[in-house]
Amino acid sequence: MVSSAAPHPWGLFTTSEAEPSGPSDAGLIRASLDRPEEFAGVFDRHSDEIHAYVARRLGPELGQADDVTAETFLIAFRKRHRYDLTRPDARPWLYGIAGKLISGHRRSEVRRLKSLARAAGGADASGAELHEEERSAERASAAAMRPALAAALARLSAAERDLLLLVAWADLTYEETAEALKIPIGTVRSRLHRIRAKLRRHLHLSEEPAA
Amino acid sequence: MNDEIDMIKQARPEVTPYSEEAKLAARRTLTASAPPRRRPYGIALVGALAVAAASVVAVATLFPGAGADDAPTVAVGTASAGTGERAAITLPRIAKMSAEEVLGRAARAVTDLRPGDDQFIRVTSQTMYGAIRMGANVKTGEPIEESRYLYRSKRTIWLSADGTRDGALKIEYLEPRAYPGWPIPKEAYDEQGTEWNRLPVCGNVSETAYTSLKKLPGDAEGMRAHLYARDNGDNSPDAGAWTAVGDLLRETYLPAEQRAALFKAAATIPGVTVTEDAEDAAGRKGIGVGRESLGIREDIIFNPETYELLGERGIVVDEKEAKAPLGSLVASTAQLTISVDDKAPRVDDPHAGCG
Repeated sequence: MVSSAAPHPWGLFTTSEAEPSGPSDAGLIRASLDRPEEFAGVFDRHSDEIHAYVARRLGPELGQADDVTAETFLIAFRKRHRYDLTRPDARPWLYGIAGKLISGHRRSEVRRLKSLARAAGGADASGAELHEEERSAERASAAAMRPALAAALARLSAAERDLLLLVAWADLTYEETAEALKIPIGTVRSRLHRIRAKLRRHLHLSEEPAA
Repeated sequence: MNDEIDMIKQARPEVTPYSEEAKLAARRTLTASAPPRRRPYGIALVGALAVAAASVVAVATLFPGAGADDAPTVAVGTASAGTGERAAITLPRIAKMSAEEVLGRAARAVTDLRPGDDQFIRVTSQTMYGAIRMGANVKTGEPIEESRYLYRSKRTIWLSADGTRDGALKIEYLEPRAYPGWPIPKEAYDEQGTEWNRLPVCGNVSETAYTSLKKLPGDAEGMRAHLYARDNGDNSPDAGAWTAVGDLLRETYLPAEQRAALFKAAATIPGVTVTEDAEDAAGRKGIGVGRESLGIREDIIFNPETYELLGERGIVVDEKEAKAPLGSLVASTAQLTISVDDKAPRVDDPHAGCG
């Protein structure tokens, strides 16, 4: 399992990677039931990773990633009594919460994807006006996100995007994705199958896609 | 075959790292939403301030010996609600009158409210203490930047006279002030509004209950031994004994016999002197009896006519040691009223526990 957590940009708090022998997330959450401040440890471990995921999906504009990340951990904190303590790794749970919040920003996610699709004169014609900061943001990520892919992502349903991007961008395993979305693992597999087919169609790929 | 998914993977946008500022803000919101831990309650109650910063060790000791477990501690002094800030402050002039004389008069002036066992002592006060945050990150050992400010509050405490009933503590936070010579940090504004705390009995009678205090020695010699018996950590025994004097008087009601014994015993602590120009947090002028410790003169202030206790103050007398300008006030309190109530307010406080 590859973690996509960025190295900490500042020294005050350390990441879980730096301290493999520390308590599990479940241990921290259990401790936080009596001592709420322990929950800060969960934030210190995973906030970079969650933030990166949210930023990938919503873009860097308007501090949305900051807001959604902050809200994700607040909600997690409030719901910590209901956390399944048999699960040592809290990431799927956190991604699940973040995903729901991202869904609340679905319109801005789709708009962003569409703008990315247009960045290279792409096919989408639903041309909403773009603000200057969105333009610069889109220029920054256009290199990494091919317009055709962005357009294809925009055409998936929100639930499909959630599932696909947990696997593709958050590096969750199918098991973890199932846990995050609270669906059976068989459903993850079958939905992914359908998503692949959709992508193939939207990208106008043949059965043997170009590399 | 996962080719489509691989394509999406490869198209994963690069993102800029989570900004330190936004991250700190989120973390602060998170820890602020965590209800504060039960404040240590007991002798050092008045001095206890929880500076929330979970993976940061917060240390704040202004006056030695007032330490209470994991909370930063602070302590006492007078003030200038009347005169405002530090403009009117001059260095305390040591009076010719001896501490023995002043404290002797205070000892003779004692009265006793004689609360019934089932009653409550109610004390209202206004306080200003230094909150000093320093220390190191628990995990990396890196030092964190020291910050200081003066936090102010109005407090009302109800203490069960015999220690068998739950008490209550109401704290109204007042506008914080800058610690003299230090910029005021953002966290100074974290605590606002009014807070009610339940003070649970937890099976043992508090040391500050009237009936517990009544068991302390009623003679000067015995009381002196009591003052010096306390563990004062790194502080000198004399500094520790003076701190113990303040702790016995602050938000408590010491029975007449013990109060007289305390004042007589306090007069025997080396280094205790008198200043006639002390003022409490309510702007009341009085006679200060105090002792210097770590660059700060810690005065207990008495009404110059009745010798009734007015409050406390901390005033800088050694700039270097105190890291604050000479003559500036770093602590100031006023004991506003003391009375006996039949009941304490019932506080629904989910954080009050006996852990």
